[in-house]
Amino acid sequence: MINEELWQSVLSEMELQVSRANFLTWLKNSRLVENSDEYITIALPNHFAKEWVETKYDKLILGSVRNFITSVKKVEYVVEGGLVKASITHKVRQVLNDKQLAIEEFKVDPETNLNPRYNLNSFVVGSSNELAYSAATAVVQSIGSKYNPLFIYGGVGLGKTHLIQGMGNEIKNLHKNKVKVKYVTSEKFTNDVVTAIRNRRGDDIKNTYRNIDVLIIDDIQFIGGKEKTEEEFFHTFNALHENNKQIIISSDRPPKAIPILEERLRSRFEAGLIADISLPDYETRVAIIKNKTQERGAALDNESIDLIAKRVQKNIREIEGVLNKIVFYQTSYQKPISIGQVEKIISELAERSRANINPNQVIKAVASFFEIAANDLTGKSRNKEFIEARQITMYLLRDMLDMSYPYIANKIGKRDHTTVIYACKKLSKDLDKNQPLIDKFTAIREMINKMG
Amino acid sequence: MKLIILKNHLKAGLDAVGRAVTSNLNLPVLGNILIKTTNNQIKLSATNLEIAITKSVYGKIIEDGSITIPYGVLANIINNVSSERINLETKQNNLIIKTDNYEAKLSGIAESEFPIVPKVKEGKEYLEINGGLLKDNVERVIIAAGISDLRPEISGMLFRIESSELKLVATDTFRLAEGKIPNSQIKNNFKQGMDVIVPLKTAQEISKVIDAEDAVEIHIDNNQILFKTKELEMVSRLIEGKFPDYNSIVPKDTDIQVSTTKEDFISALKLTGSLGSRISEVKLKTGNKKVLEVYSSDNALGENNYLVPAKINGAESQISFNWRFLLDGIKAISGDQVLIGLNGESKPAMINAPGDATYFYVLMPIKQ
Repeated sequence: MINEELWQSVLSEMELQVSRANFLTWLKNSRLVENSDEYITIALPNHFAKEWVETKYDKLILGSVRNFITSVKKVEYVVEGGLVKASITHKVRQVLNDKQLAIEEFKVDPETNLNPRYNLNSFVVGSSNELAYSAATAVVQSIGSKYNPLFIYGGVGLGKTHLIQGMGNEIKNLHKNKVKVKYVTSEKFTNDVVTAIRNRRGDDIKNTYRNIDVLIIDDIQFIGGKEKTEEEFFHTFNALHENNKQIIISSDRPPKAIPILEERLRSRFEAGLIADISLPDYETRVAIIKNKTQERGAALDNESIDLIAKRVQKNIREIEGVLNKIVFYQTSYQKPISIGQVEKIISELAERSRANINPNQVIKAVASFFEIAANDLTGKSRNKEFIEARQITMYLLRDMLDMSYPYIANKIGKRDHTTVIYACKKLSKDLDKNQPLIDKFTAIREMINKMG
Repeated sequence: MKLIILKNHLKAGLDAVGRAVTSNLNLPVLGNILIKTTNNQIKLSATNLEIAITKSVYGKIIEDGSITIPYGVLANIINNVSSERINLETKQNNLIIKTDNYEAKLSGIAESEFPIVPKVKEGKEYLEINGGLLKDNVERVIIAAGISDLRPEISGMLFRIESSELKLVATDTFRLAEGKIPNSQIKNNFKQGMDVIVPLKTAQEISKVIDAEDAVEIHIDNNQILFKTKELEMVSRLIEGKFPDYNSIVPKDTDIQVSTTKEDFISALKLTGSLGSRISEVKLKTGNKKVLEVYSSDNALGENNYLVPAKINGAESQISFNWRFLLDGIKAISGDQVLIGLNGESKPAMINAPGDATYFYVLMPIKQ
């Protein structure tokens, strides 16, 4: 006899023996959890019910159970909060206008940390992210066995987070919550490690991160150089990987370009599949713009879409910024926007990001990317590691800020301006063919833009 | 059972346990309180199957026993009798109340019908805190709480026990408040940190039934929490689930800092609030270094503007808030100075008292 039937039969007998009130209060919301030959386990909705049933009905229940399974000697009781939905419904204290903003982060599911806003359907696929996307769908279909770990890298605002959170949500939906997914940024992981150490709860990390089926970790590059965190992550990684649990990692650059990442971690990251997301091409950008306009419930003519796709190339978040402004314009003036206005909005955003950059920020960004001191960068040492960083700085100052060669030479440690000319020429030639160098540039440019 | 009790003691006991009495059609006994003598103590108990409150009252026990009596009628009688001394005596399932000039016979229900209050194991790991301190912190945090049927884990107050402090946190997703009690002010015997979510109703009862003078022990066991003082025990279930990671939304820096006196700001909010329209909106305008403008308008009624003397750092800005939410936070600040940190029109604002690291209130603006 299956558990449900058995328990139903016991309950119908109990219903005849106790008063209706008692039956409804204590027994109705119960369930048979486990049934071995020797004992059975019953779940009750709260501690009161457990105390009551245990003291008052134990004999009756045992007797009734033994009518069906004679070998049972003991009934055990546990509390299971989920058995009864909170019956008390409260009125909302105050009618709130939908204009009152809520803390977005709290919409995130606290178990998985996933934001339900992201899904794979709204992810626009183009040649720039095809590989990453098909790897993602493959992993969603066969968790833990196909590409493990899946390492996705690409610049800021190109959709890494969208893709990996979308995977998480897709997996959750596909497996009806039976697969435990956890999304975490490396910053949050670091915080958890620190909190665990501070509160002497070392096991917390193990409990939270090792009992899951899919671990998604965002922006792994920030883990570099934090020894204790790297170590914890290393152990977590191994524990999951050995048990064929899926690991999904994102970063703004490939594993080998993350400075001061422990070698043992790097080699593990490279063991699965590495897929990149690069700048979207024109067609993809058009598709993205159309998608995003639709999401916002707005309409935009083809000419404007074409203009935005042509002018805003490097960052999808910037496209969103432009669209937000356009939607704002259209709703406040109640009329379609003119192409001239669109043009103006785009230039404003572009100018703003440019105006905010100064030479010191460029130097700081390069120095922090290479993990060296800004003084060394502008100093005299001809150490090999400084030279590349120095040349990149020069090139960026020329390229992004349009500064004169002598000025740059002066800024970078009072050098001769021909040194700068040489550096710029060399790099612009290298940039055509040297992929690692291009990656470095993308990452540094993003750091600078973030500062601006 | 036969007892002699002073009216004041009995009344205090009834007031405390009465908070857990409910009317339940299935189980009428939940509308009763249990009067019982054990170990030379008279104990009153009531429960709504979510929380149970038990209070010991002083009195003379002549004969041991127990009975449950409908709370409403008993409380009404005790509130209104004029004598100091009250005699209570059970005869079968009846309770006889006798004073010098009054006698009543109430029909009750036997104790065997009354729910058994679940035990919370009182182990070595517990926390001890002054009642007043606990109440103050619960009260200043609970203002930010809200009931959500969809999100049970935020319909409660987080008690975060850390090795160095106890934090209380509540949110309704529009605002969030955190109160901190450092270990120097409590006795923390927990070996490890712990997070528990206490139902809102339980948190409300803490501030109502616990005496500010008493020391409160907090025990946690098996998804239940026990608040215990010399005379009172309150057992509650805990909410299962995980409180959202709120640290990430607490602003670390703010773009604009407004420093003003609490009194000025409260009167500004109350006054401008009267024209705050249906959505209770007021605008805070900064620009002048010395004056904060509080502005509100209503299409039908008109508009008004209040100038609050303040010290302001940061750029010109204009941000809308729900003035009631703002007022809740300002009132919860201790001291007479208040610091408001603004972060643009769609990011949370931070409210706290200068130099007070034990409390903050975070509030989301109204979209303009």
